[in-house]
Amino acid sequence: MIVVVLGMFLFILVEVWPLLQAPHIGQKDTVSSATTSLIAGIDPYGDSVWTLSTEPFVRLVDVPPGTTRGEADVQRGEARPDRQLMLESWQVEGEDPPPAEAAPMPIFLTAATRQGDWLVAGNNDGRVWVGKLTFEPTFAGDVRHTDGHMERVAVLQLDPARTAIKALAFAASDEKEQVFALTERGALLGVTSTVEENLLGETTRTWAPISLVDAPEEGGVTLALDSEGRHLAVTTREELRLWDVRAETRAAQHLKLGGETTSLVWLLGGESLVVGRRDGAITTWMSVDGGEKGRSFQEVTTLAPQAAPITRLVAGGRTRSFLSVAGGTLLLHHRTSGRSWPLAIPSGVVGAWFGPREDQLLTQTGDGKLLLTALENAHPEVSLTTLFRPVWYEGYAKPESVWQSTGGSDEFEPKLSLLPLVWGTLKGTFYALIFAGPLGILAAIYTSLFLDGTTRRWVKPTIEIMASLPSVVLGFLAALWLAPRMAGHLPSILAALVLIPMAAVVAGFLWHRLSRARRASLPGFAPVLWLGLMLGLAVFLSGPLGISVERLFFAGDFRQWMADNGTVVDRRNSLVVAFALGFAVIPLIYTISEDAISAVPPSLKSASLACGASLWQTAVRVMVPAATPGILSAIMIGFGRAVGETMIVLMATGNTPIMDISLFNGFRTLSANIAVELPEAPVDSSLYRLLFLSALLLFGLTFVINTAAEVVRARLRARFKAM
Amino acid sequence: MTVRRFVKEGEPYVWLTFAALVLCLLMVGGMVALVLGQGLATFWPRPLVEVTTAEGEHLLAQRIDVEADAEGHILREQLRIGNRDVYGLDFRWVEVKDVQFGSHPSDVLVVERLQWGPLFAYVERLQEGDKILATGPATGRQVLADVLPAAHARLNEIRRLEVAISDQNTQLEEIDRERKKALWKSRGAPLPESETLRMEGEIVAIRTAMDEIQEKLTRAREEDTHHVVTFKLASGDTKDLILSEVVRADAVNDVGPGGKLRIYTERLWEFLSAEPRESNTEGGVWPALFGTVLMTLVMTVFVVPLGVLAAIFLREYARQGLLVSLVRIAVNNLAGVPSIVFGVFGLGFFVYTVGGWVDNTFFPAFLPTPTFGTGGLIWASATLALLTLPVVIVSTEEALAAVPNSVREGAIGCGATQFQALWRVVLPSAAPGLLTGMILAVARGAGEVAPLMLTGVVKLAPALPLDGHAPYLHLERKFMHLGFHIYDVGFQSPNVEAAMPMVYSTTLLLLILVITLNLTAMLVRSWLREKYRSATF
Repeated sequence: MIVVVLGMFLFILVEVWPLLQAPHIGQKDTVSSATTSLIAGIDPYGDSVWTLSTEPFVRLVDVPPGTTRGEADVQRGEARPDRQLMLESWQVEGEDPPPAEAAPMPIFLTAATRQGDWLVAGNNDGRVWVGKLTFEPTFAGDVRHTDGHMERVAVLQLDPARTAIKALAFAASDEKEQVFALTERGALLGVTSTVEENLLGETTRTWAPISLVDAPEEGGVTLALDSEGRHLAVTTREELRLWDVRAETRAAQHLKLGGETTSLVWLLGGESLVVGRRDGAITTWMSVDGGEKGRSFQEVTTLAPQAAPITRLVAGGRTRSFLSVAGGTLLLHHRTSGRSWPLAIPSGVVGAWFGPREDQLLTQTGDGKLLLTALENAHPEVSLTTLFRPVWYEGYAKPESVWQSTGGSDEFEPKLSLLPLVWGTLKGTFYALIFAGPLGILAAIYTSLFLDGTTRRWVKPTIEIMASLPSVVLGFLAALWLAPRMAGHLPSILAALVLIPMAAVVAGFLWHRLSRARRASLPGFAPVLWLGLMLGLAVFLSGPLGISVERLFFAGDFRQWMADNGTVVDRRNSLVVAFALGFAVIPLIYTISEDAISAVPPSLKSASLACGASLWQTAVRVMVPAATPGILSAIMIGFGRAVGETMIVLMATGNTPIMDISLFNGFRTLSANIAVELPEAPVDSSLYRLLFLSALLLFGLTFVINTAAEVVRARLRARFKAM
Repeated sequence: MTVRRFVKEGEPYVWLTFAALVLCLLMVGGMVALVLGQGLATFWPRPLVEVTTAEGEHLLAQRIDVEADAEGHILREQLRIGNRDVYGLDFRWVEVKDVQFGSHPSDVLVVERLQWGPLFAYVERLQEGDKILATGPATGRQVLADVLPAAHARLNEIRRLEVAISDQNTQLEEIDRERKKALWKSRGAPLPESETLRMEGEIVAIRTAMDEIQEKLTRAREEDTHHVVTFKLASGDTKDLILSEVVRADAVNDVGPGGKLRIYTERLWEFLSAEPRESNTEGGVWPALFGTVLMTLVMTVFVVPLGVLAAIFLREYARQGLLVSLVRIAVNNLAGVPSIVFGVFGLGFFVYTVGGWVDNTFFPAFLPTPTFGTGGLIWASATLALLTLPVVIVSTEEALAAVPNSVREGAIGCGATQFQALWRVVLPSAAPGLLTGMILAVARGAGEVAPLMLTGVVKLAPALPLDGHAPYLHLERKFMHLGFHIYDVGFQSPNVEAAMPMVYSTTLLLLILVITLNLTAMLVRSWLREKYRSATF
């Protein structure tokens, strides 16, 4: 048994553990050494590495043979000699070729960028080469080689003054491509293409400059364009300028920077901009909803500052991870969690690039050495902070705790805060206990102290039956029978809360007006029947009374009145859940409390009665206080049951993960969340492990509570034994 | 008794506690009554009434529900108008002032059909090919009743042929599996020619047989389409149906109480024994009932030996010390762990870890299609076995503890070893207690849904886990379950309103199952207590 419990705990813990592991470097391969690259990358199959330096060709280097990552039955082939893929023909269309006798000045590449299959390079002559670099694998049995193909699309004379291109940004969509560049002087230039397709499916491109308002004519330092081609960011020495390229006006936003910028990059999704500064600070910026003031672009977080200028920032293509290079050291960051991890790469790093699935890393050191490493970075978005503290997600006005695990696209930023779920769990449990606690305990007091033996003999099994009712039945009835009826009669329910106790007291008084002889002549279950009748009457009367109350105070429609006062009453609300969940918990609380009170030694009762106390005084002053620890443990066990209950909350709440104390809206609990999301969660993903963590939380919580309750009960038993 | 004395003695409070108890009882009683009422009413034939709306539309409807204002005036009435293919909706709320209710025509039929829910209509014409068998509502419904059995026989024949074809398909799959296995064994090398020839021969034989059956099937279907019944709706429009699509047709306005009872029993039987139709909202729950029972049986096979052995060890052999109290705490805690946590563990451990290992070790030829590495009956049963383990242990221990020590001492005094005493004397006396534990475990297991949702329950299983193909009991198959059926039909079905009666009936069935099991356990337990009370020395 211990093995089973421990085994379950350990197994779930093992599944959760990788969440807490910091990203780190795995297996290392030195690929080759080359001159310092402008840009480099790994092909989509992980078989070769390509680099582009100042010479106009891409060098393709095979990764040493071995087993490929992720594909068990494929081997990388023997490394072949390096290959060169030329960036052919730098001739600009519609321009005369340079006269042969003109003294050729040395031409070399000065900037390059890549997006998707596109490769864009600029040279010191103000020209930009636009083309595609694609890869294709060939198989020989299980052995695979991958080769690259270079295709020229266009060459553009971006800078008419023929100064060198300092930095490039590129974005392509189905309809158009956009190229932006900063020249040597720091002037911003842009060109966009229009792609037209004729009936035969051939495409023709026409290129035209884009004019941007306030584009710097000199002094531009860095630029970045998101992959959708929507937002262009350019920094000058003291400010950040931002354009919405697709807007008609193309007006610039001018934003003050806290220091001189050295590097700039948009993260996946094009919502967050990362700014690296000369003083070593890394800040992230994004568009924030300021309510009435409208949206504005703001600095939202500052990451661990470095000692040296941030020379390079590289965004990941799968998550919101990014790399920074500062003073030769390489760090991995994640925007959502705001964390930074040093990576165990030899120092002297000048360039770094992610592999296609972010599971590989290519780094280059100052001496030109290229290092290919595996990168273990499975759960960068999860940390204790993101789970339990508010996080400033993209598009939100302020840091918030949100659970939204999946979205419409791959670029969706998962919002994985457990706080709303923990909140929902505790809220449901709290309301259920408020309903079930008093009812169960009071019923237990009556059963153990006042009820006659014959009636008790069938009352207890009835309540035990109540405990055995499947929760799916309770959930179904709560959601589809109770909820619609409750929604229309909320004031009546409030009225019933008042009427029922009143009816009980009145019924009791009337009963006692009967003569003792008359009462004795009635069968033992008569009081139960009588009270049942009176309570039924109270429930019946509360209907019309509720309607009158609704007329008098809530303008005839309670839900409308609540809505007018700013609270929307959901159909499947906490009240319904409290009722259904309470229904499930009552028998537990009842049974354990009843056991506890019955176990109080009868000598105490006799002594109290002998001293002249009434039955009720004996109950309240003597019996119940003696059994208090038992009743407490009953509530604890009820809490444990309500915390983990799944089907009732799954069916009777709207499963909306909101944090709100209101009785009139729904919530989502940890357990229901597991039931909803685990069947769809990819194995070993962050979501999968987080759901295991939820299970671990539930396990731990119920374990602690049940153990405590058990200890309390054991002590109580020992005490009664001693009496 | 005066008010003053009444208050002084604290009687109001006593009556408040009394009220709490009575409320609890009322809640249980009310809930059971609600499910009983709604669930039993499902199959009772409701009369059909002619309705004329303000727009002059004629309808045939069953009156379902009313909505009244504060003074009790009925404002709106809910009608079941059926004919979903014509009206788009089964139900309609109408303003009482806008409609006129007419007579209850005796010839009108409630037609249950394979698709689109019930049809409320008159028979217009019955045809067999070009031959007209009957016309008009009165004779039409008589003749319809006569020819329906033959139509159902035709449908059964078609079904039988379809099953035969799927059997042949299964055989083809078997051969394919065999081939894959052989290929995997030979590590990709081509199979010997004799093998290939043998397999191809078998395939050809099966295909020939299949073609024959297919031809028969085509003929049977062709023959079936000749039998057509034309219905006339209240609006005067007509609706043609192939006769075999009619599941049953009842002239609900023209049957006496006896006839209604007959219809009721027949529909109840259909509910228990038939396959579901129309995404589970019509027809029966047989696969779900079967799945529930089979799953709990397999669970019992797992949990009872384990639980009983653990309890015997704890009670009869282990020295009561720290370890035993730790075990007891563990048992109590296991009982308190939320069921969804068991589900998570079942998915991670049984399905992905154990199931994945089984697949890699025994069924590598079929990967990446999982055999055991996905949710299935066996993993659901194993998960629930863990869940119900404490129930079995606790009640077995209780039963063993109830056997007086004098009995053990007597046996050992007569020269029995401890094991003999246990086996021959103690266990037989405790047997009813073991039975109680088993029944309680089954009751708990039958009602749990949350862990199953993660470990192998589905809304519609293509095949029962028990069938005529070796190895007969397919533990790896996914299965249906009454509890999940309730959740699925009540919450995931496109037409919840029309499905509600079915959900209530399923709920009732599950409730009866669970309550009966629990009552049995209670009776056995109390009988056991009586027995030992008198047997104490």
